[in-house]
Amino acid sequence: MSLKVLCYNVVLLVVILLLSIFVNINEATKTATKATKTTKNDDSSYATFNETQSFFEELIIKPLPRGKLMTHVQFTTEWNSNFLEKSTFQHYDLFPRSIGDLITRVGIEEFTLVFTQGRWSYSEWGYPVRAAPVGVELIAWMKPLEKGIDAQWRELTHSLSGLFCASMQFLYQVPHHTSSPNRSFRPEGESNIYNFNEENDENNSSSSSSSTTTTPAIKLNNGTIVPLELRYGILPRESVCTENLTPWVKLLPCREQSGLGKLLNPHKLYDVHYHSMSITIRKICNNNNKDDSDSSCLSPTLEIVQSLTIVNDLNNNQQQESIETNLDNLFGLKGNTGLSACPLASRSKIYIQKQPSLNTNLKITGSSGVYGVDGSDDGGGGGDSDHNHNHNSGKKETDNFYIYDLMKYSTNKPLKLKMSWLKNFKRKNETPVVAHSHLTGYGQERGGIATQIFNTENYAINITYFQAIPWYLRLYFHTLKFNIETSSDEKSIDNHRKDDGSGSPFLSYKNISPAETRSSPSTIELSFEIPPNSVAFMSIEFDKVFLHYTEHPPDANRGFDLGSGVVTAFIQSSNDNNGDAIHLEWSNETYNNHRNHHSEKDKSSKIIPVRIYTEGLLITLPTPDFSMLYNVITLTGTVFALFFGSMINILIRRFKNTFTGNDFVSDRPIAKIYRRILRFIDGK
Amino acid sequence: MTTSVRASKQQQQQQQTTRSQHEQPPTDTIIKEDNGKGNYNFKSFLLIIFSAILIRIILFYQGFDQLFSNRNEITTPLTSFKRLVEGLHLRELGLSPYAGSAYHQPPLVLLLFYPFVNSISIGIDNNINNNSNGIEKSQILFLLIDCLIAIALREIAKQIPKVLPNEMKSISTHSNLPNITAALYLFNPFTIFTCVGMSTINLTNLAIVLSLYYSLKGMIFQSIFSVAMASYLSIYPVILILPCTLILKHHFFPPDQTKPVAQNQLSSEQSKQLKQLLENNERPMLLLFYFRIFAFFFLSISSLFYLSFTFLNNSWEFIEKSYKFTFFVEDLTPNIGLFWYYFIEVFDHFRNLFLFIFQYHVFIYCIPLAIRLKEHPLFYFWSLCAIIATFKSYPALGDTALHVSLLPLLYQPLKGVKYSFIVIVVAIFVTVLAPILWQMWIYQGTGNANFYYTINLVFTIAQVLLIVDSLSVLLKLDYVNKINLKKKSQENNDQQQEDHKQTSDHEGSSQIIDDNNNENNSEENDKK
Repeated sequence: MSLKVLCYNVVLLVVILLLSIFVNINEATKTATKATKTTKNDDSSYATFNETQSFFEELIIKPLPRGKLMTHVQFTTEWNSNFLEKSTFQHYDLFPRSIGDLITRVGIEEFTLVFTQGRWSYSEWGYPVRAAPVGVELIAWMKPLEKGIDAQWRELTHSLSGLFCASMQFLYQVPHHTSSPNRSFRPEGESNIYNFNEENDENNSSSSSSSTTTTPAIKLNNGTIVPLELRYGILPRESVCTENLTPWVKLLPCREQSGLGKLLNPHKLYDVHYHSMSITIRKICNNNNKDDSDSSCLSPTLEIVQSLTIVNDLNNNQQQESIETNLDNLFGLKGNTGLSACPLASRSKIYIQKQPSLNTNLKITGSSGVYGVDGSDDGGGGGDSDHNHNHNSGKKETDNFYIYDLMKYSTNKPLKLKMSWLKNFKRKNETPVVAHSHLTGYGQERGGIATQIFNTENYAINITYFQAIPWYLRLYFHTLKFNIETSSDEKSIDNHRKDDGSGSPFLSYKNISPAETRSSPSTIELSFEIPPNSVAFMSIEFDKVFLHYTEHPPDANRGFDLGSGVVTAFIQSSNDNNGDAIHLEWSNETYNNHRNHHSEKDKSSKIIPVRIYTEGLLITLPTPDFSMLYNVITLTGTVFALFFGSMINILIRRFKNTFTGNDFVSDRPIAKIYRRILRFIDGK
Repeated sequence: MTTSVRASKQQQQQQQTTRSQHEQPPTDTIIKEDNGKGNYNFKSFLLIIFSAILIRIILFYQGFDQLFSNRNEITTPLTSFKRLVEGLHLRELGLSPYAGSAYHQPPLVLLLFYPFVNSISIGIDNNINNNSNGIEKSQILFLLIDCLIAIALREIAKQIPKVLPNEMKSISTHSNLPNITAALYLFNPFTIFTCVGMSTINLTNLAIVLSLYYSLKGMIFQSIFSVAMASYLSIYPVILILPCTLILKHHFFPPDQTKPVAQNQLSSEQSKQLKQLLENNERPMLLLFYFRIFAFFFLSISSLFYLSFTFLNNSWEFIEKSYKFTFFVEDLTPNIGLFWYYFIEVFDHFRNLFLFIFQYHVFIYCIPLAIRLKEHPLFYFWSLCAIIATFKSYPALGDTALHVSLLPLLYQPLKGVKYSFIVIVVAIFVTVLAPILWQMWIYQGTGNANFYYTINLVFTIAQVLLIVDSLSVLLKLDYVNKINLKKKSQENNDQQQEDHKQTSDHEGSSQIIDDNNNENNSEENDKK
């Protein structure tokens, strides 16, 4: 009897389990899992948390001058939940578990990790979607836990280096490149958990940039406000390769099996001009979830953005006037299978930037494979401007983009894209702010760093410049010079070496922290307003430090890499700017389009912080002879021994008078004893 | 107390009293004293000073200070003027001057140069923008320091025969020796490099020379304070307190060789009793004397530390950043010493051991030398200076310049040095070759670090030869003198046996004459 009941129960359970799995899969294939749960807040205010996880994928293609092509793939996973509850981080669906663990363990509010190889040419290509310095860059905002910020930073760097097979642990172990700048970085997320001391948002802080610095803070469960700690690290030397890509791809729900992930073919990804792979975690405020007009964001969305920017050089044939390519060849898709959406994605789109003001003569042929519904359909270059809303084909055209919705395609009828454009089209307007840095001087004894920041716009731009310089360059801050030259009327005021940054005519903010030997780097952070059509010069001199032979890298004569300087410019996005330069324009179109009114406010203020990086520099330090170890030790030791030996010799020598003929007879007690013994032996 | 010590001895030292009257007005400035006596060719000394200043001003005016102050043979991390300016700048910004590991000198150097801060910044500015630059206040300060050292050296040369007859026989008032000493300091190329390169080692040198000067003058406090100042500025001169004590002791407790003639008239028993009595009297006084020196030293060094402590807004940071930096050789910038390449190349796990040995090595010689050179405190002083200059962790040409310019004071005992030719040639060789090899290593890339290291090695060996050679010569000479003295006293004591002794005496004297001949020859070499 009881056995029967038990069997019945077991069968029931199995059925329920199977059912639930089935339901789950169903839901997953549709869009995302959805569950609603209500929790009670500590301060007895109720908030509803929609437990949702969703996944978006986007591809942006932008032709660049001289036969280059930028491709930017971006995967976004969003997770709405009650993150105040610990148990939230025990159930994962689309969100990668390894990252979720990291967030709870280290107390991360936000972090960005970028792997980059190659140099983005700002003046030629405009601004990238996500600017990055050469090597590895890690920006982390952490809320202080009990174990201390250093322990957190250590845990973060070590975990990430394990996770991504990179040497991030050196950021902690050898902190040459780790710093915490005050103004250059603000948290990117828009969640209102952040409680800025003055202004409450970072994106429209251009007005407040001239005022005192604000530190981002976070409101904890118990209502106390704790300032967030920023750690910024650069590893300029790190080379990026497949072993970093594979773990990165693993974090994607569809991996490289379907959807845009199919493009991630390592063979092609690393055979490019510029390659930048990033992962960003932040908390944003999703206004869909906001249930009232209250601006406080009680239920933030955890967002993980994985993006990959590459610049291909398609300049194979010199004589060719125009470039022609298709997506399959570009990424080496196997068997020309074409593209379709990832089944888990709730949005999957391809954007191709039109740049209508430029004479690119862009032509796109989107073929849908077997069922050629829109096979004949080609978005005719500049002249053809009919807004073609063909919902069946999944093709759409806006002012700036051709948009293909991959959800409309399937594996049976995938999207195949062919593009062609003029190779040498001219860019109409220059990039508003460009920065370059150079090394000055010659020889391996001393040198200098000079940075130039150009403003080509017709209005003044607020700039924050930050550079961390490792300790093995001993900076002389009294040689720090800053100057702004306006090209129009050539008036230049020399303001270097003022008593304070505040007293100088240009610098609204100046923060200097000298290096500590064998630990922290020197940092320079300057804020200033750069007048229209002018150039800001900054230069500083340094001595090259002579290092111990073990402190040199294995290829010592190659030199040391110096991390890039960070320039944060607050640029007005004008309407006629056609999305050529400002990256946030399309971002509003894509992952920002579901944001709340904040972004619209942003749009109205039209001041966007744009981050650009100066070139990474290579510095050769004087090297010792690495094969001389034993020789130096023995030769130096010999000199010391020579001196010591001859001193002993002289100091204990007793002079004998050779002229009186008498033998010297010592009267020391030991000598007396010795003589007595001798006499005893002789029997005298 | 000094007077009481003197009173107890008044019977036996008539010469002494006359000498102490001589130096009664020590408070007068040096120049005044000179004018008062108008001796030692004061006019030519003025000429020397004037031309030395002229040379330096010309060099400053031609912008050689930029060139020299960047040379790592002339300025070390501990004495670089550029780093001093950086320290001042950081302090102006409200940061600690030691932040950034550029500045490593004791804080009171900052205080000294603080009044010149504006002119400093303007000066550097000019130098960078356009090479034509005038003389600045800080450069005038370096000029003054050099002149002060020269004047002090001249006074020392005048003073030595009176206090330390062992080291130098009395010189006539027309002797050129004091002027030559000053001139050899002022026209020594190493000194000129150091002065024009604005190396703050000059401050240490001034303190060292002053300590010698004051101890010869018998001014205990000033002398000990100078030693304390020198050891505050660069820790090594702390061992100079021993020779200074010896000189001061010579001053206050002259050795028995100046025995009163009256002693001969006493019977041997009486004289023995008298001696005993005097010794018994002397011992507590001597203890008190040593205690005074120790107390003075402790007082001055602690007051200097306390001043620095308050100057740095109550922080002991400077001890770590200045002295620990010196001892642990944290900056491996090449200089003329042996430390830099050794500690670039040494294996990590042996680093501490060798640091200890090398640093300890500088200090070990002070006790044995003190025992052996009791009677020659000036020579002791010189040899300690030379050892410091050779084996300190950040040596520069300024250190060498100091002990080289003390050499003329010892010319009498050192007439017989054997390797003077080698030493001089090597010095010239190194001065010429070092910049060339540096250029090859750092700028051309055609050489490597070994080239420069070899030159350092040769230079160190030359200094080692100089020290060892002079020491052996001095000890030999000392022995010969002792034998001669013994013989003389024997002669005096038993005049009946005059005939018997004559042969051996003759031999001894002829040997001395021979010695002198040799010495004259080598001296000519020296002059070349």
